[in-house]
This record gives sequence, C-alpha cells and structure tokens, in this order.
Amino acid sequence: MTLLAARDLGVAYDTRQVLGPLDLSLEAGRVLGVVGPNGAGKSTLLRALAGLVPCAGHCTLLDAPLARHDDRARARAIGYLPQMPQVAWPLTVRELVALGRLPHGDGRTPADRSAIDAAIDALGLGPIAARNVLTLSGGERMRAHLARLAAGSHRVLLVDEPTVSLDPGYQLEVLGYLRRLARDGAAALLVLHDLPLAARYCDELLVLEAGRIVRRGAPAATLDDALLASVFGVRGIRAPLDGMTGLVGISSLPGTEGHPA
Amino acid sequence: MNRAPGTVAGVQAGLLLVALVASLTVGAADIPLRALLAALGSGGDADVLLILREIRLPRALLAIAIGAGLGLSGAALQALLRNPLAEPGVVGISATGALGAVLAFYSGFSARFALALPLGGLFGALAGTLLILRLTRGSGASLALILAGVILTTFASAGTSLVLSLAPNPYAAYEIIFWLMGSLADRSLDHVLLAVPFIGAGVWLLLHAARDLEALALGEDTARSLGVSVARLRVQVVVGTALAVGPGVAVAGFIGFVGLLVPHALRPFVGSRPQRLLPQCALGGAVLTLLADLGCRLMPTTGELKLGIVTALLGAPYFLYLLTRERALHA
Amino acid sequence: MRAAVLLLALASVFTATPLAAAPARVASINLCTDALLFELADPAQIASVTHLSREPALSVHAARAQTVAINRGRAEELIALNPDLVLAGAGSNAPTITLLRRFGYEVAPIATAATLPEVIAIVHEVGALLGQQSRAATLAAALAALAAPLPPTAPGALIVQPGGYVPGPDTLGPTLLELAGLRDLAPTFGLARGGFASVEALVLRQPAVIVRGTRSMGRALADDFLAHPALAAAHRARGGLRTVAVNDAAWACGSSALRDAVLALRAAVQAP
Repeated sequence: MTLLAARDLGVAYDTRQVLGPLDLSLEAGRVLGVVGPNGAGKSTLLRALAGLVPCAGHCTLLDAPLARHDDRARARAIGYLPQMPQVAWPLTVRELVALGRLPHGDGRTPADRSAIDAAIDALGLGPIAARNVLTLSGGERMRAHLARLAAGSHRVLLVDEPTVSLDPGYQLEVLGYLRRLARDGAAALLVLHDLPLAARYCDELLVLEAGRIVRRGAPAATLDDALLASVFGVRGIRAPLDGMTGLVGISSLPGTEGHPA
Repeated sequence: MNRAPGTVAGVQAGLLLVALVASLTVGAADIPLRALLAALGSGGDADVLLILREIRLPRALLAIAIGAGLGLSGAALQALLRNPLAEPGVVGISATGALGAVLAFYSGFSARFALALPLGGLFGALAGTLLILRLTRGSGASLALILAGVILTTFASAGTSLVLSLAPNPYAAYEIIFWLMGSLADRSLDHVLLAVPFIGAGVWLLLHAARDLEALALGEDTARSLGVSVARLRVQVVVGTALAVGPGVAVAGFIGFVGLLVPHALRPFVGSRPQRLLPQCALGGAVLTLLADLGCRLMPTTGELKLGIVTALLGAPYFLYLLTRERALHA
Repeated sequence: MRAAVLLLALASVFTATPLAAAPARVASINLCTDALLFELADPAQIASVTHLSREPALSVHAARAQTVAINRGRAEELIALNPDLVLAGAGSNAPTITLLRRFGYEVAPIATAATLPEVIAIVHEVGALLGQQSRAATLAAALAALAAPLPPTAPGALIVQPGGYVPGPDTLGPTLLELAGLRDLAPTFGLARGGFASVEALVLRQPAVIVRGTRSMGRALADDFLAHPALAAAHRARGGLRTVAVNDAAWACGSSALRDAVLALRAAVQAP
C-alpha cells in the first residue's frame, strides 16, 4: 500500500534547481534507501517530503493530497529524524521520547504513555530512562532519538543518516530496528552513506546524483559496478550474504589513490 | 537534582510574600512597624495609610509585575533562541523599549494621551525583538547574539540621549540616569494601571507558548516535523516579550539581567523544560526584582540606589562567568 | 533686622569705588547682572546681555532682552563689542574674567546674593559702577522695606522644585519664604543645606504651603514629583500641602523682581 507518493517533486533555491523533478513512492512494510555523493540532494529530498522546504510538484499522503492535511495530521503521519540530531537543553531519555507524542496531544494520556514505554523498551533504554540525554554515549543518544521517532506511531518514517559516527555494532542495531518498524507496517525512507549497509538493509534503493534519480531498484541490481564507478568512483566487493551475493565492501578503482595493489 | 516544582514554587511564593511585606515597611520616611500596623486597622494614622496605599504599594506591585515579565521573557527567549545568554536587557530589547518610551514622553504625546507611554515602550521593544531575530537569523550562536545585542543597546541608548538633549525641558538631560539605570521610586497607582495590564497580557502569551517551546529542544526542523508552527511560535514569543518588557521599561526605566539570572538560578531546581521553567521564572523574576528594589532603599547611600544598578551588580559578574564557562566548553 | 539692613546698605554705598565717569557701554555675561543692568542702567548704557535673558522661564526681562544684543559669555564676542565695563558673575565666569582683563577690559565680578542684606549691598555696588547711584538707592530702599519680623504663627512652607529639589541657603529661597511671612521648614526635613525631599516625608510632615515654580518648558519626569497623586490625596484629606506658584525667575536673582515675588507670595498665602 502506497503511503506517500510524490510526482514531479522539485526544489529550487532562487533559480537553481537543487532537486528533481522526480517521482517516488513509499510503500508500507518496505525500506527505501537513498544513496548518492555529497551534494546530491539527499537531505533536501527528505526535508521536502517532511514539508520543511517549499517544493513544487504533487505529493499524496495516505491517498489525500498532502496540502489537504493540516500540520498536526501531517505530523502524526510523517516522522522525521534529521542528521546528527541535537538536544538544546538537558532532557531525560523519557522526556525526549515523550516529545515524539507532541503531534498526538499532551503526552499524558494512557495511549501516549504506552507508546512511550513501548519505544523505550524496544530500544533497550529502560535502565537509562531517567538519565540526562546529554550525558549518554553517541550510540545511546541515537537510540533515544530513535525511540522518540518510534513513539510517534508514524506511518511514514524519514530518517537522515542515522548511522553517522556510531560504532559498527550500533549501526547494525539502528538499521535493524528501522527495518523492524517498517515490517510492522510503516514505510521508511533512509538516507545512507554506507553503501554495503544500504544494500543489506534496504528493500529498494534510489541513487541520487546532482538532484536527479540516476538509478532505482533492488540493491543488487542497482549497485552494479558500472554505477559504482560512475557515481561513486569505487568498485564493489561482493560475497555470499543471507543466501545471496551481496555487496559487502567497496574498494578503490584500479589506477586511483587507495588501490591496495 | 530536580525538586518537585510545587516545592520550588512554594518557596518562591513564600519569599515573595516576605519581600512584599518588607517592601511595605521600608520607605523614604522612617515609619515604625507599630504605626504601619495601626494604620491598617481602624483609628490609625490616615497619612500612613495614604503612604502605604499611594506610594509603597504601587511600587511593590510594579516590582512584582515588571520582575515577572522580565524573568519570564528571559526564559522564553533562551528557549526560542536556544541560547542561555539571551534576555531582554542583554539582547537590547529593553534599550529599544526605553527609546520608544522616551520618544512618547518628551515629545509631549503622552501628556495628551496617557497610554502613549506604555505603547511607546511596547513598540520600541517590539522593534528591538524583531531586529534581534533578523540579525541572528540562521545563527543562534552566542557571538552573533551578543554582538547584535550590543549594537542594539548602543544605538538605542545613543538615541535616548539624543532625544533627551533635544527635549525643551532643561531637566530632561539629567533624566538619562533614570532611563538607563531604572528606578521604581515614587511610582504611583497611575503607573501601575498604565503598565500592568500590558505586562499581564505578555505574561499570558508567553506562558501559553511554553508547550510549543518544548519541541524546540530538538531544533526547528524536528519541531516543525512534530506539527509545531515555529513561525507562529516566534511571533507569539516576540509579541509576548514586547508586551511583558516594553511597558515596564516605560514606567521604570532599563532594568537588566533579571531575565538572565532567574532562569539560571532556577534550572538546577526545576530543570530546563519550558513548561516547568517558564512559570517558575515569572515567580522568580518577581521575587528578585522586589528584593533588589528593597536593596535600593536599604543601602546606606545618600540617595536611593537605582534599581538597574543593583541588578547589574548581581547580573554582570554572573554573565561574565557564563561567558567564560561557555568559552571553556568550546576551547 | 531692619536697622541692620539699612546700616549695611549705607556702609556699602561708601565702600564701593565709584568710577571716574559713568561707563557709556556696559556688557553683562551673567544672568543676575543682566537683571541689574536692565533695572539700573540707562537703555543706552546696555551693550549686551546673555542669551539666557531672552528665556521667559529664566528672566523677567525676556521681552526687553529681545531688543538688546546678546552674548554667550565668550571672550571673543565681548572683544568685538568693545564695552567700557563688563559685569560678570564672580563664581561662574572666572576664566572669562581673567582673559578679558588680560586684554585690558574693565571687568567687575559680582557675587551671587543669598540674603536680603547681600542683595541690597550688590544693588548699591552695581549702581555705583554704572554711575546710577540714585536709582540704586531707590531700589535698595524698596527692597529693604520688605523686611519684617516673622510672626510666631507663620505657616510652615517648603519650596519644592521639579524632582523634589528643595533649594538651599546658597539661593534666595529661604529669604523669599521669610520675607513672605512663611516659616522655612527645610531644616525639619533635614534639608537645611538643600537637597531632595521625598513624597513620603511631605505626606507625613505636611507643610501648610508648598511653593512651586510656574515655568513649563515641555515635559520631563521631574514634573511627576509634584504631580504625585499622594500629595493631592493628602491635601484633600488634611488640607495641608496647599500649593502656591511663584515665578522662579523672579527670585533667582536679587533684583526688583524679588520684590514682586515676595508680594505675590504674600498675597497668595493670604488669599482664601
């Protein structure tokens, strides 16, 4: 089921077209990954879908035009987690997670409390729920932000680079959790910079370059060597993974810096 | 670390009551406590009752209202700008309010239309708030904020001096001291009626912004994604601050640092969350201003000390401490 | 008191040094000597007065000053005028006096009067300098006639200026009150040397009469003091703090205007 669809989506600053026009749709239960070099417009795409930048084109949320939904309805349906999320003043983990319930109301109803508790449990934050978020490690803080996102009971999740500066173990944990949320019925759009991780955890990939989609499809087919070379300037290392041959690493192209030979 | 907000509020309310009573017993004329109490009952000295009702009570009421407005707007600005150094005095809003009030007063406009005085302060403060937001757009960083505040304060103070020098009345030039250093001396019930309704409206607006301000903890983008209209929130805080600060400056002059000291003093006890901090800061601002005004009258100086001097003596060293601590964090 | 005044007046007549001949053109660089110049000199003798004399709020001769050349008390202006005599304030114009004397001009520094005898002595002194002794004697006599003993039933009064300022004994304020038959209450307010009164003290000690000025040159916060509602309320309740307005400019200097001020104040106080 298509939860969020965009047609001819475009973002322009002054006269410069930064993104699009492009089409995409987010399906329930599926994780869509967005990869591309720096400046490709990945974060802009996310912010446009979240309604944070003015954009041209036609967007549909849950079968109704996006503009028809008021701010609160949109906020209930779409959850957004920016890159490197900050916390401006000391909050406990529980208070941070509770902020995720803002689109739904006060945060004090039984429904709110159970959503908050569920999110805290799901991310293993129970033991540190009363601690100041600013004193936590990077991984714990990211889990707290994810719990905030999860507590919002959103149908659509827009997450920008959730694995930046996380330990490898946490990176896998975070992506695994997001995929679980999608399997439970949400549609997730993840901006990722780590290609092997994107290939492993996403059901479909969009490759963005200079604001346009240059390839889309299943990870194995999308991230073939031709694309890796032309868009990223690297070569893929493949190995058997989860019963298929998957991208497990990248290497520099022969004749370029960093080549092991 | 976080005490129950009810306890903190209770302690502050108790302090407020004590300060209020003390404020009524201290004044330019040495009236013994016995006489004050007698005046409140029947058969007391009518003159003493008059002094209480017409001079000391308005002064205390103004201190409470102005202090609440300053404390609350300081906390609200710190949440909106996500910067602990923000407060009406530091960012120049009080200074522009003073300029607006001075223009309304010395032009003779407020002699014909009494409300022109608080309205002058209101519009002056509004202009200052809008300018600060414009000057720090995209960067709530401390350097930009303090610089913008210095620019605004310098310009507004110079403008105030200019207006006072151009005023036809020869006393005007000396009144710069009142406008730049603030005083509640000899304020009457007329001043209370001019300022308190506006301040009350501002306090109401700011208290109702607390819930949306919570979302700003995660930054503007995330707040907007949570359904908070940051643009509308900004307007609410701007107008609320102008109402809570401007008319107060118009009747009492520039009183700085209350909005800085109070939130910082209360955060260790009630936390940083706006919904809890803002109401406590309103109360705390009232207590601090009332106590400072008491200090003005109790100091062994020949004349009464100016209120803004007392708050500056408390606030400037603390401001310096905050600056050095922030530098140390970013060093 | 009257005898002492007369004696002092006579003494100063004989101690003032008369000039060889009456000066043809006299300039004044002090507000109070301006007033004396207007009142004692022949119109032809007046070469220049200060610009302050044109302010109605500061000078009772404001209208007349419009027809006379004005100066701002600076040496170059006076050199251009080339007067025979310059009247200056002893305390306020010291540097200018030194400069003018260096250029060879005749400068007479006149002290500021703070009591009636001093006023009369200065009137005689200036009269002698101007060669107008008879006019000076007439003015001095009129002023001396004001002196009267203060009756024990004299109502208490306080001169209150904007901002609550009570002028001290270095001005003619206390003299004005005494001559008008009012008891100066400044000492009981702890303001024997002048200073600022408080609204509270005024409400508690309620002088029968408050003497205020009449000038109004635009708005200032200082005006709020006497407009404080507590004073009006106290007056309504007990009848004290009756406010009487007297032109400040009239008693700022010791001249014939002082006499007008005293008489006006007496009349106002006796009026129902």
